[in-house]
Amino acid sequence: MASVVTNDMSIVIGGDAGQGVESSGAGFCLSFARAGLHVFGMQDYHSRIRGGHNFYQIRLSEKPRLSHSNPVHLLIALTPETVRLHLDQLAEGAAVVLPERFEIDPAPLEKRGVRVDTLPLIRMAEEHGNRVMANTAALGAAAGITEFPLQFMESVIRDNFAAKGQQTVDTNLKVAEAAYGLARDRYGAEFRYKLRPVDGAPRRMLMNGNQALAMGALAGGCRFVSAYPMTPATSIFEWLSGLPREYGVVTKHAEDEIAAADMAIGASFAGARGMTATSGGGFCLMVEALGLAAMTEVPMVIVLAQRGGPSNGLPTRTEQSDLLFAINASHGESPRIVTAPGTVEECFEAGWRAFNLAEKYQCPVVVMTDSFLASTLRTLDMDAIDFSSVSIDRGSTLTPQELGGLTNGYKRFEFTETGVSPRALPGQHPAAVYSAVSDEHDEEGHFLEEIEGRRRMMQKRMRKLREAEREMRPPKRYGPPEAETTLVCWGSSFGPCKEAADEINDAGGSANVLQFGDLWPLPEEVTAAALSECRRTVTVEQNYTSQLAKLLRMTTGIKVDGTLNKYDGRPFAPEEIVAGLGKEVVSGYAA
Amino acid sequence: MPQMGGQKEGTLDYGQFLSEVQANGSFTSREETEGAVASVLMAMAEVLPREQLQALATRLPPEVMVFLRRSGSEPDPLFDSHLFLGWVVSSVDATGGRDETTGGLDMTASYSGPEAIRRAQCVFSALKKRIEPDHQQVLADLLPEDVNGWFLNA
Amino acid sequence: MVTRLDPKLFDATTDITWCAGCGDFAILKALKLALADLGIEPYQALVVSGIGCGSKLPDYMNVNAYLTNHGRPLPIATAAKLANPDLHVIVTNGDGDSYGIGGNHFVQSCRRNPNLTHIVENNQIYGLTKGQYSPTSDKGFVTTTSPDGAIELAFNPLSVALGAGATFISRAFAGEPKHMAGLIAQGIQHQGYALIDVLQPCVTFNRTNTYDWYRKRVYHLEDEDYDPSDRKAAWEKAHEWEERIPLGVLYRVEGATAYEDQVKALEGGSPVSRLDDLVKDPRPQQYERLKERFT
Repeated sequence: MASVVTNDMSIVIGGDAGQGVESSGAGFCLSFARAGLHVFGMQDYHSRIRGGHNFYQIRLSEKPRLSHSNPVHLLIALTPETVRLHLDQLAEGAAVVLPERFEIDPAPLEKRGVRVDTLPLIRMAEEHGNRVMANTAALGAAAGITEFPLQFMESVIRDNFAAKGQQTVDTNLKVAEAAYGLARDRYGAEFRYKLRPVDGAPRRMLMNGNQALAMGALAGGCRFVSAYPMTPATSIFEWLSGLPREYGVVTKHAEDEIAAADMAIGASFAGARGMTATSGGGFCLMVEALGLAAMTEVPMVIVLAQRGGPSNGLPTRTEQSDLLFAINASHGESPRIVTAPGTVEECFEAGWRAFNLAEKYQCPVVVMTDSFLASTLRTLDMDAIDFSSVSIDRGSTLTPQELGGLTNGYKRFEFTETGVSPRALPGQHPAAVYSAVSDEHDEEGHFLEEIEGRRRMMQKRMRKLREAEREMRPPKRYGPPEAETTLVCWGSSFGPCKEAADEINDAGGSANVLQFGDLWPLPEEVTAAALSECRRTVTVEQNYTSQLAKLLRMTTGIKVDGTLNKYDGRPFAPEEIVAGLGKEVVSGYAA
Repeated sequence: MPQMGGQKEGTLDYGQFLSEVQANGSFTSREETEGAVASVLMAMAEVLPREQLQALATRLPPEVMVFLRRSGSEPDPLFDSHLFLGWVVSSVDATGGRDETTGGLDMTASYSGPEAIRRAQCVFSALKKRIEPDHQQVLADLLPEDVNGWFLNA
Repeated sequence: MVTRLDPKLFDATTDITWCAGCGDFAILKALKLALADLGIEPYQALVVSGIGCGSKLPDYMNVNAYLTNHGRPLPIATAAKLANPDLHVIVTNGDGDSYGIGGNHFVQSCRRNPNLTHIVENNQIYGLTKGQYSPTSDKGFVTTTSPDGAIELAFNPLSVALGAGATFISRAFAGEPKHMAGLIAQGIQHQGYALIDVLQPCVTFNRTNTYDWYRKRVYHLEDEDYDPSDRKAAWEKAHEWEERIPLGVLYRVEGATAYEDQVKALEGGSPVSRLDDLVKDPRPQQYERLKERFT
């Protein structure tokens, strides 16, 4: 028999929407996390309430992982269709756990060396409670086959079902235990992929990008959030809305995204740290507001969690196709900052840093994430989220002392060397009374159309962009400095790129990663230098038109050597990147 | 209540009153003249106390009484020169043809302020001929700031 | 005990671009007087507007002024109030801004009841863009964009406000600035969304609804035996237009609770005050317990 592989596998749970795949999958992830394993839990679901195939792909490891991977070693199928859909992902020696009564064609599975472990999951569920517990039975069975101690699953069952009452908890526990025992006894011995708790592993958190970003915003002093529900940004808003009231976060589910954006501006105008979160379609409605914030120099933080476009596109799927939109949106020319965290930890930092940037440069800051980064669960060490590292920097916002020194004639839009004017907040001091008009204006904020005044005010606003550029971080390099191939990426592609580079290097090849975080204003010189140091550059992006490649060329004049494009709504898997490197398209549209 | 001066030569013909105003203002038509008279008198009706309106009515042709009539409430103490002009401007044509550049109608509203003042003064001057100087002063004192100046200088 | 202020405190030296005789002058005057009478100082008030002739009003006052996007002052003002409930927040914008492009925010504000005062400069026309018809133009009104006469029924802000749950609905007439100032003051004092729809002649472009046209029709509800807490009566009055137009408070809910007073997160401080506290004393340890949720 082939050797046993411990704590290094991928599991897929699949079923129809409405079968509870999401919560089962998340619960499963948590049980592994509690056992000290590193977890990478990726969801894939249709934008339907019921029907359509959904699945959770969970990668388990003793090392931190930034990507899912194929092949898959254990498939828990809640529908026959699940088997058919994931067949090609299954490794030799993989197992499929499925309930009795499912009619599937065993031949293709046998051909791939995959075992089918049928269990009376539905009967067990019905015996103990009701049919919906087939999920719990399936998870119990999965734990049994991998001989993963049941107690971890049990702790998650207790927590998850507590709200539904002790009886529900007990029944689920019984079902899980029964399935566990049956699966282990029947199939455990032959299944070579095992999961064990990791001795001495520290306690960890299991978190996704949205949660981390929300925490960062909270720690950064955000106490006003207005939003309109839109996948995949909704959970940021819901998380902040669900906080204990003592934190004092005022949230408003607005009537539409126009109101959501305008409310964030209104709150910021009054001196709060206000934020809104949306996806591409909602961002479309916020375009005019962006211009207002920039013109009246009001700080504004917008989280843009990208999803498949255009139009209503692929609501529950991932993409990175709004980069150029986010940079250019709104008519006319005005300053803004665009930044894209690439990992869950980076989302936390982006959450609070965005507010500092917004107040410092008194302009909109767009934090770009995507469905993949927003919703994928990852294990993090407790200190990966460090609240004491958070700083609240209000830039030129006038302190009470400075306000006290104001005399009449305060100019909200005073010309300064950096372009940033001292900012008084309304209602704080009798001398700080001012107009802010959204037409072109003078230093006092009144309407102005004169040539010289207009030129100077435009220069003032755009000067802030040059100032901000100095603070924008250079791209980060991961991997050996002199590699044959550099994977150039931004946002959530970083994880799969990093894993791909590791794979290439481990196999004797030569690759590194150049990750862009701050995208606008793009720090031109350091970017050009970083690119010039590379031997062969390939952008890896989840879009059709190679937007990062275009941005790099537009700002530095440097054309990358190739682009790898994926626009099918599913995140890059490291092996896809590796395979694609041989075939990547020369800069331009994907084949 | 201030004393009225002695009776002048009875109420004059409405036609004569209008002709005078028309001549004062070089208005091109009777309608325009009537518009000016109506709007100025209605504006005065907004701001003068009832007794003054009645006194004024006795000095003017009966046809203008309809403009001096005001329903219900007391004059608004905040009624100022802007509002006064608002009533008069309604009779001033302030729009030109279509504005093919920025849309809507082209407008000559820059002129409507001074034009409204001019019209008001045309009517004031015809009015003043029919009332005693100290009656004129009484009225001026009751008119809003700036309007009193226009009246006295008419 | 309120100390009345001198309305001149609100005077500004900005060049006013309104046409001579514009009804907005009266609204400006009335707003200054209302604020002064209530003892509200310029720095304590925030006047938010959209785009239009009337929306320039805040810039013509010595007060915190924010002239925003067409149709959008209501959400901006609502959030400013939530962020700093100490501010007296007033919205001044036109009928197109409020009832057309801003219509959704108008309806939502009626049911939301934020504590702000909404003064609508209703001249039944688009002035700034020089003479197109507006949501409140009467059916049949001929303009450059309604050459055969407006086809739609005029928007009725009072009945819509009533239907949407507004707790203070009133109408004023620019030709009666003192009466208007009284309504504005009542609106400011009202605990919730106060609508003051001001019938305001556009002396340049609207030659139908002139001062005289209104004078012939307006009457004061206060002069009749009218009970503003009577919703059915309010509905009837809201539909009076052709021959008689009621002025005054049409409908008022006594003891209404403003939106902000129902936001639990505001109980311990406002977003602005809490941020001030955090700057002084960040206390990062207050968030540590949140990590437990992820274990």
